[in-house]
Amino acid sequence: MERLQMFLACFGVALLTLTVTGCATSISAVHDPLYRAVTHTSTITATASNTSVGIRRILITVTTGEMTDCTELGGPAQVVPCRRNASTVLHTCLYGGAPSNATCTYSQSLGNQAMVTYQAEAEPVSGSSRSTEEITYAGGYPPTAGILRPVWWHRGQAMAGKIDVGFYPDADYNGLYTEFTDDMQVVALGAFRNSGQPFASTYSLFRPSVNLWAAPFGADAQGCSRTFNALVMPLAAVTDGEAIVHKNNFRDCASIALGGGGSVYAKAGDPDWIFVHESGHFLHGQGDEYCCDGGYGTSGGCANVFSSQAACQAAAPGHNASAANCAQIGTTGAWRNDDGAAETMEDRTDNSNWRDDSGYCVTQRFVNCGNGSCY
Amino acid sequence: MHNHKQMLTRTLISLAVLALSACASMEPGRLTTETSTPRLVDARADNAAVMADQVAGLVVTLKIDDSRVELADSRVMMIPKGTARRQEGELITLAGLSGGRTVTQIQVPDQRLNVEENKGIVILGQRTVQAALPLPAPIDELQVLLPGAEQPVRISVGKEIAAFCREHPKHDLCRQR
Repeated sequence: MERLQMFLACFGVALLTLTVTGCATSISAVHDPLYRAVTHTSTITATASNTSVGIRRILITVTTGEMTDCTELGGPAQVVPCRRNASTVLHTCLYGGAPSNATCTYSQSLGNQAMVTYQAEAEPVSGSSRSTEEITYAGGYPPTAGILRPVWWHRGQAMAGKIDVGFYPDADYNGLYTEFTDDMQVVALGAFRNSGQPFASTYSLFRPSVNLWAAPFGADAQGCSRTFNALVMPLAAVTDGEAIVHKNNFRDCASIALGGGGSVYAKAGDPDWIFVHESGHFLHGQGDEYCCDGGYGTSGGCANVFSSQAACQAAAPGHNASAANCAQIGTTGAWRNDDGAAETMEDRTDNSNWRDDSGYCVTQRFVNCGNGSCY
Repeated sequence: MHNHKQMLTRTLISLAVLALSACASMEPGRLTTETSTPRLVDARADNAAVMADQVAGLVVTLKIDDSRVELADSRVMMIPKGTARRQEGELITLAGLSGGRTVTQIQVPDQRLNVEENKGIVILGQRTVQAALPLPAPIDELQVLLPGAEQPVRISVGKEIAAFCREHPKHDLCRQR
């Protein structure tokens, strides 16, 4: 009997501990579609969870107005858009029964030149509320001015503390912009809102440090040649990375640089993985690690490919990697760290991730963003 | 002592029952929704943070052919404030000069070194590079120094500034001329 009492007492203590520690409320929100340049219905979905006391309310604050190039404010044209004639609505979802998981949706029809900002807040039955980051996106037929069209924009925050990625439709879309935005959505969601797959886990984790933009037609990629016409040139000048999304099949190519351009074949079965891999080149200066390319290279002070075993081993401790895992890439004379698991700069599989050297270098870039300047 | 233990046990069991009763439900819960009437937003307040992050800048496309540099396109626009401190990799240095004196400078990544999948390293002798140079003051020349080059290339950009100031004579940049 005493044992039973002790068990129940321990159970009570454990349950109380669980109740207290499990009180954390989580909330996330996303809009769908991410960006479409025609009038459409846009839905913002907020999902909240509190497994101990449950959710009482979700509040979505939505501000919608007309996207402009800012000239209406009396100044020169901007690359980054402004908004006019905006209005705010508060959409409230109230829950009876304190559900542990709650979803709240708000839909509206977006006319032309629309720009929307939203933020969601979850209120548990007891305890502190939690809010999502504030996100801005565009929808509907855009202004003719050459401005960046927000897909996932932290509007209230300085761009220097974000990695700004522009998606540029290749000329091979032949004017079919909706096809481009559909393809871009697959890439963006697969790369940045996809914690479940290893190859996207780093970008999904650091999504608060990223702005995503869509550009109008004006870019063209073919092989390693990339051009930007007069309309999109200013956009490419201010984005950190320029991903030219193309539908004709050719071997993708990217600059190896800490900020630059590359191409992404949208009609492959895994365009999101391709983007993550190519951005390893053009955003993070990382080199290919697979065998056997005609030459290997990296850019910047944080490398994942080395010209000797000694250089690989020397870098390993600082990159939280094991020097014992340094291995030559075939017989190329280039060296990499290989812990045996699938690596995004080597293995074309969704199970790959940035590991050892590249894992450290990419993560460090986002740490720099947190310090106010990604580069 | 025994009574004390029993009381403690009863208290803990009561608290456990209380905790259980306070637990969240796995059921979806009854949902009621409400949307407020739209409230107008002041445009200046709405755009304040965005405007505060912008400065006048010279956006350019440089056409590079080995060591030759040509200004393919240029104009003055409002650009995001750049606090990038790029110090790594192959960098092109762009400086804005006024009367031969440097008034602004940035470094942008060169696009010379490329990798083509399943092929390898591709060095582009001919390439284009886009850059946005903040303009804290008017400039008359753009100076471009390629990675590894000893001598910079100087390009006149006075007409771009003049064109901007004809259109926006009251802008801070133009009042400094």
